[in-house]
Amino acid sequence: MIQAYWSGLLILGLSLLGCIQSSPSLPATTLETRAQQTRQFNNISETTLLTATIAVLQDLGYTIEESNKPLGIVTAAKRATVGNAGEKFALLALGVAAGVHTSVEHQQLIRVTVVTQATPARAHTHQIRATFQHEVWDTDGKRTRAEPIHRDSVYQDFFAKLSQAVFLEQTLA
Amino acid sequence: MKLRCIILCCCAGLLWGCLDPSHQAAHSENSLELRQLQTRAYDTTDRIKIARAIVATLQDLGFIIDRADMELGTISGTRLDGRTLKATVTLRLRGKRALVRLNVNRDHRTMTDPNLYQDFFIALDKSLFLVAMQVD
Repeated sequence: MIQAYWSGLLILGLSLLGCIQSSPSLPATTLETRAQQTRQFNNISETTLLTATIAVLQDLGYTIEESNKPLGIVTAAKRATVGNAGEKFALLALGVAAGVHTSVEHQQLIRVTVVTQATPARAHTHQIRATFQHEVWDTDGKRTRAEPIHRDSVYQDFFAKLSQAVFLEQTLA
Repeated sequence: MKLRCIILCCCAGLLWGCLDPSHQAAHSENSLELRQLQTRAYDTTDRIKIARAIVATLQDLGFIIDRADMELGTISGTRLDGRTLKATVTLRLRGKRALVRLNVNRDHRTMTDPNLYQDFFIALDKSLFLVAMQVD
């Protein structure tokens, strides 16, 4: 009897927990993510930083969807193929050989927003924050993923290219 | 017989009106409570400062900024977390206050969960260092 009581209570507790977890919320990004997405540039105007950002995004094959200088925003998007053709062909061939329908991730749409902000304490110092996200579709055209990109190398590569572009912009100016 | 036909036609007409989904194009089930939940007033008239804080807040909450129009005071963003979440923030000056309103949609349906709106305004308050007031 007591066991049944505790079991019932446990089930009730778990279902309540389920309710709490399923409630939608907008959690702020963690400090690690913020650090991963943010860099600081000294002795540079916001315009130069935004121009350099647009140049880098163009070099990376993005199309600029939105740019707003008063608010320091650049948003861009590009379509890209997932993985290489050989791997995908091998997986699909394996599926055919096994007699099962197989689909593999095929196309993705990557979007990025870059936002600049002046650092109040220091003149001519700006913070820049980039956020990448992607949607992925398989060979059947079904969306398999819709998520933020957290891979370190993506942000490191982007900011390395941006540093070079900023240097070029400053040299040319 | 004629009267029966007329009644039947009227009933059919009424039912047709109920079934026709197009009437929802200019109709919303959003209540006054939801509007209050979506709106805050800030004691500032600095539009750029508030708009920049809104952009920073949306980005910190994982949104990509789709559009920002300072002339009309609208900023829209998209957040991907398995599904697509769309947010639109409007900014209007009223006297010495700035009214900020957030709408969140998932799969083109308005989200009515208070947590979403509270999370956004808590983050925006922190970003602005201002205390928001609820608007009636």
